[in-house]
Amino acid sequence: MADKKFEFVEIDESASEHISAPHYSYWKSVFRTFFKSKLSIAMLILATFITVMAMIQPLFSGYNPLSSPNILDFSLRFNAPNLKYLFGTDNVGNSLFDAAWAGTRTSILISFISTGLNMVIGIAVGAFWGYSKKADKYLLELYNIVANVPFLLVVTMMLYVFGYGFWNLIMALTITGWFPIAYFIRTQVMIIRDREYNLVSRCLGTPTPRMISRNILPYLTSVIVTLLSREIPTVISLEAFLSFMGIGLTSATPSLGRLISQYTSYINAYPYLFWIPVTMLASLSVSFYIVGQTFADASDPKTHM
Amino acid sequence: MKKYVISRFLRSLFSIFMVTTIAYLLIFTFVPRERIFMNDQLWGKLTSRPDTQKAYEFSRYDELGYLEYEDQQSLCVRDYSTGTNDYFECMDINSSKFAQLKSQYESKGWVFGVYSSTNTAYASREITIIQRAIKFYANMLVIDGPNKIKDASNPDLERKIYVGKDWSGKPALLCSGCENKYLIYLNGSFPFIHQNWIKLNFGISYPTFSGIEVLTVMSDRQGEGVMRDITFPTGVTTSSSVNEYTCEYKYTLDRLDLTKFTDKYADCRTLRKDPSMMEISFTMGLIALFFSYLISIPLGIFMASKKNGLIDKIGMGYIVFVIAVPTLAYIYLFRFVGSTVFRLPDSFPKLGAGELSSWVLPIISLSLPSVAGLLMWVRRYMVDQTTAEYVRFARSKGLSQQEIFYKHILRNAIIPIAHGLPGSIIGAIGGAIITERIYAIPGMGKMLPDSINAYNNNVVIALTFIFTALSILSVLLGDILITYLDPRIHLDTKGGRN
Amino acid sequence: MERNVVLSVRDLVVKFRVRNRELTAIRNVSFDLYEKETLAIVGESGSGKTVMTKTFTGMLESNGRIANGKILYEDRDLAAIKNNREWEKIRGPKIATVFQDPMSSLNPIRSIGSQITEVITKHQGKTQAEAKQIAIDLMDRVGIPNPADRFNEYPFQYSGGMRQRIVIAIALACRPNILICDEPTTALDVTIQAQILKLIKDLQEEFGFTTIYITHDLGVVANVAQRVAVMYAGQIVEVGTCEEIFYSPKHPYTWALLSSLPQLGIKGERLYSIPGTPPSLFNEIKGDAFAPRNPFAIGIDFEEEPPFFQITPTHMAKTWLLDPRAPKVEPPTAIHDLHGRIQMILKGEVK
Repeated sequence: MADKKFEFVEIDESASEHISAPHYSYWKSVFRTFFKSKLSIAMLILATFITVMAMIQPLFSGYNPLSSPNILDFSLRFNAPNLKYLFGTDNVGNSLFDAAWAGTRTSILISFISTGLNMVIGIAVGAFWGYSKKADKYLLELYNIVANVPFLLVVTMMLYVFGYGFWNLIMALTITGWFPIAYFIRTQVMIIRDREYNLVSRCLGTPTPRMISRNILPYLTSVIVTLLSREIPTVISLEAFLSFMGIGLTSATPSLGRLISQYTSYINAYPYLFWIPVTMLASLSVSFYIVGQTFADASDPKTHM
Repeated sequence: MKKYVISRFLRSLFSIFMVTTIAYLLIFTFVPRERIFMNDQLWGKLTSRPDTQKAYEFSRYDELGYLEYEDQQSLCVRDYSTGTNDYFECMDINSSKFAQLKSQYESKGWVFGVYSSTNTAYASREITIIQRAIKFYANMLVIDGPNKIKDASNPDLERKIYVGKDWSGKPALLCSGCENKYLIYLNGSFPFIHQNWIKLNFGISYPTFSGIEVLTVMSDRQGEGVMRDITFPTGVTTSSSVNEYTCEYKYTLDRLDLTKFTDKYADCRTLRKDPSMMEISFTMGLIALFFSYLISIPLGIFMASKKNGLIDKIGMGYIVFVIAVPTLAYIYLFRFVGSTVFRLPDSFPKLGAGELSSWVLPIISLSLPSVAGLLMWVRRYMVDQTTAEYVRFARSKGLSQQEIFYKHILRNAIIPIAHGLPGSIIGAIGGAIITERIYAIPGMGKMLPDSINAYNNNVVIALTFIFTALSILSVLLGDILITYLDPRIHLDTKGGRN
Repeated sequence: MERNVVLSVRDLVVKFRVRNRELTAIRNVSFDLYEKETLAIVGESGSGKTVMTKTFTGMLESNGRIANGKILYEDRDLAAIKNNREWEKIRGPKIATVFQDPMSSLNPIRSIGSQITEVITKHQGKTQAEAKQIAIDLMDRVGIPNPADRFNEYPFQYSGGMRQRIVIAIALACRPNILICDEPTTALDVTIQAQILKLIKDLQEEFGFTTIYITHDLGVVANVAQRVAVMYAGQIVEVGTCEEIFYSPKHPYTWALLSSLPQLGIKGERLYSIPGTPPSLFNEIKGDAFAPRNPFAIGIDFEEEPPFFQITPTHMAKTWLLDPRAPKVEPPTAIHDLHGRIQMILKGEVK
């Protein structure tokens, strides 16, 4: 009995080569993974809001930490938060709203600029460091010395020696701040330089620029974003603390840290004066951190579906 | 192995030397020297008398090693004895004798000036930064010896080191002719054996703690003097706060000294009731460190074993909180909660060092960041290890979870924990600076911003040296520890980490 | 010759949760394992060989589970064991495993000796001193020179081959009933491979355990196996004695496997390779899993899963080609007369 089902069938070779995995685009997956988390969306909105407000509000408020225009008007002192003064007023009638946003602006500028500089220098040096074995010997020795001195000590020392000010602070933060980043990048470069997929690319004659942009950079993206997400909150915290101690920024530059230090004595009598700057500081730092962390996780291809 | 330790130790010393020297050179070159007077009340009071103020400044600069300073009187006294005609001639600013003196000194680099109010001259010579630095290191190590004291009024001073008894009868190593009477002595406080023989000299503290040696400022007990009944060598018993072990040679004794002392070692410091800055910072730091390891390791292990459980989620939330929120903010928050909910003192001096409750909040605050870091690390490590090959094999051998954990995983975990110990110590130093400020704790961490604000350069240098030394030596310690724990590492063949 | 069945797998189905999807790694496997025999399980990566043996020791990853079936061993169903404590009694003293990479199997910071004795003290209740003696004997038995001196050394002080011997010694220290060897020689030099295989064979004769070899290397199979089971896409597609599988295979996949042995290639002939890739186990597979790559596929292969057809009392294959309604097919030339061909190559008659 010749059953039709038992006859030979022409097999479609291409069908067996079919890869059932869906089409994959790296950046699309990065953003898709990022936006999956409701928390990071919320934090992104918060961070954007804070940044925009901090950049714009001081332009309109004309806040100057050295002047107290309402100092003679006693009725404007120690007003609790109300509709006119959203964050209330302090002991000389200054609006905490203006002061807080001006201080936030300083924090953002300082952390972005110094982190940006540190990253650029660190990545450039680190990439070179990772490739050159000769440079590695010397730089490693230097690194072992520098890395073992607490960063706070170095920054404080630089400020002490070269004076206070906005750009002085940035210089103090970047004079050795790039080193740990360079070291980290150097280690990463050494790891991936010797990874097989790079050896293979080289054997296949891939030109170096293409290797860097297709093999190395995507891997480094995740690593760099993780770094950024840690660096920025760290610098925000550091600047706040230095200003709190009266080191680093002059009183001409508004700062959340200094506000906190000024209003510590009112923590019981007028708690809003103290806690509002503290909350602003925390919100700034937390929102940036969470956005950065989530983006760093999202840019790691292993987390893509 | 021994060779490695010695070479690493020398390299560590070199690193400490480099960092301290750079700091030293930077500070004494760039920090405007006039600022040191800003916090000196005495100086402030002299503003109405500019010449006296200038003389005061010069003598301070001399004392602090910036320059050499002599006024007309001291210059003339050098060459001519007081009372002689030559001396009086020298003291006349218009005389030829003085002009001769002046050109003599000017040729050696001295610069002269005149105090218009008294019409007397003064001279100063800058000490270059290199000379200064060399002097700094040359004087750093001070070793006491029986030939130290040169007292013209006491030519028969015995010069010997001998074993004797202290005032309470305990044995001690004493010295006649040294700066200090007690070279080695015993007492009840840690580390139980103390010495005055070899000391580090960082110069004089100024303007805060004016006139006292820097190291003494940091290592001497603080607070009120402790009055108690003491029997002096002469047999007299009175209530006194003297600390016998600090007694140094005194060139001129007064009447009160003669009633108490049988020798010339009568320059003694007070015994104070509160622990020294070093003691406070070290104690807090060590306890906080110990505490954070004690909590993080078991908790991290538990979190890893019940991954994504409730405790794990809470723990992860805590970690994110501590990392994301600036230290300043969460320590204040923690202090607020601690003082309102638990009624613990919100600043250290409120109840003082004697009260245990003063220590609680600061120590916990100090440990908060290191707990977060350790917790995250331990948890990740444990999660990684449970999928490691050797754990799979151990499981396939029939070992229980407990056995695998204790005999295999934990042994492996100790190595990176030891590796991370120096990092924790370095972090603790930074953390101490913040915590001590917030709780107003009189420790070494608070000294740093305080001395920076006061332009107390010698203290800043000393603190830089100490913090750097602690960091670098703890790295060395960590590496040595690892060699003992990990049989795979042979440090003799290649140099250390990385 | 009637041999006792020591372990019996019935209708085993194993699934894994991977990123919110389910993958069926083992799709209905049944077979028996006999006392003192050497069974080789062959197949390509992803065919399910390792997963199946992991179920015998309860070492499935946390995202895997036995969805159906029984594993009958010593009057109990291993598939039903949920308690880790009970598994501890089975892993080691009953069923022991030797993994592929000896370096990562051993704990790098504990001495070799301690890793052997911990098994002995736990499972045989001996004292430390007794265990040490037994361990040294074992080390000697597996061919470690100067075992007493090397007892306290660390894994990094041993060569690859010696480490694998130690791993075998550890596995045997448990005195198991069944020894599972998962690619035990893949990570070793070719010269050492032969030694290790011989060692296991000798030990098996001496201690009388059953050995399961998991391998993709047909050379190893030819060397050691008495019976061979061929796995593809989570199923056993053919099982038989070594001679039957090599000299009269019946499943097209087995043909393809044997054909692709480069050692059997003759100069001038095209090297055979199986086109395509194994199917995705995330999807439900209709019909014969090998059909899309099978040059001998027939219509029903795409519709219904074939049953096992018995060829001899020891030889079965799961292919519709053995159905009486199917066309008669000859195995490809390369393996048509495998025996003859091998002889020719060995004698160097064919260049």
